[in-house]
Amino acid sequence: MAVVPRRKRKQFYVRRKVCRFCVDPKLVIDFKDVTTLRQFVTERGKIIPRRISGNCARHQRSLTRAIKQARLLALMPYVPSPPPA
Amino acid sequence: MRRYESVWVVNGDLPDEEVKATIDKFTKIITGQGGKLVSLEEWGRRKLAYKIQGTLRGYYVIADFAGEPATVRELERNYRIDDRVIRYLTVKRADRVDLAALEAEAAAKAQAAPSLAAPSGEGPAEEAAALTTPSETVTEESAEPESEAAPEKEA
Repeated sequence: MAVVPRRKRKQFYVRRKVCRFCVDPKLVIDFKDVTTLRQFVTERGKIIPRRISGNCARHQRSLTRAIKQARLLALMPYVPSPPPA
Repeated sequence: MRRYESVWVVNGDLPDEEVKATIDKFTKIITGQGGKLVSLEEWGRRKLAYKIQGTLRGYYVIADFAGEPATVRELERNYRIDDRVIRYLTVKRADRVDLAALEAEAAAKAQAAPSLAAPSGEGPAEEAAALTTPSETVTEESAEPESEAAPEKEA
């Protein structure tokens, strides 16, 4: 990704974050572990892109798979629940 | 034999006996085909993230076992047929299995199993449960709605 910061743009370079899963081998990605999974999903339930989350490619892929599995099992939503009218 | 993890969700509105019945039914299928059940985790009733078959409650059961691919096929065939099961997912955890280590794991888990804690939110993942002191919590009810969560990063 380009490192050239420009004016009037959302932060272009986001402090080289490290992959949380690479650093801590105990942290496993599992579709059953909704608590961890939720950290990588926005308020609307969308999966956070790698350039924001800082995950490495491999873990981002497993993460995505796990989130989608969790969604299938209704452990996580596909879309946010509508606010009570 | 391969190591699998199969989760099935029973309609939460059904009475307990029905739920128990499915547990018996499916575990019998596993063992009946020569599979070895390592552990059975029941998460109990949980709030679903979205409506399924008109209900927002589901009873989650997870079976950790070793078996043949044919067993999985049979298991899933039955999941599809049974109307009580509203969701299922089977995942392969390992290609080959050390039967001895497996037996040990099964025994260890069976011992720790009667550790039903009070409802305290979601059931945590039990991936490494065999190695550490099992801290599995069986939840009867999950109070938190799925759409709200701890502070998250917004892109």
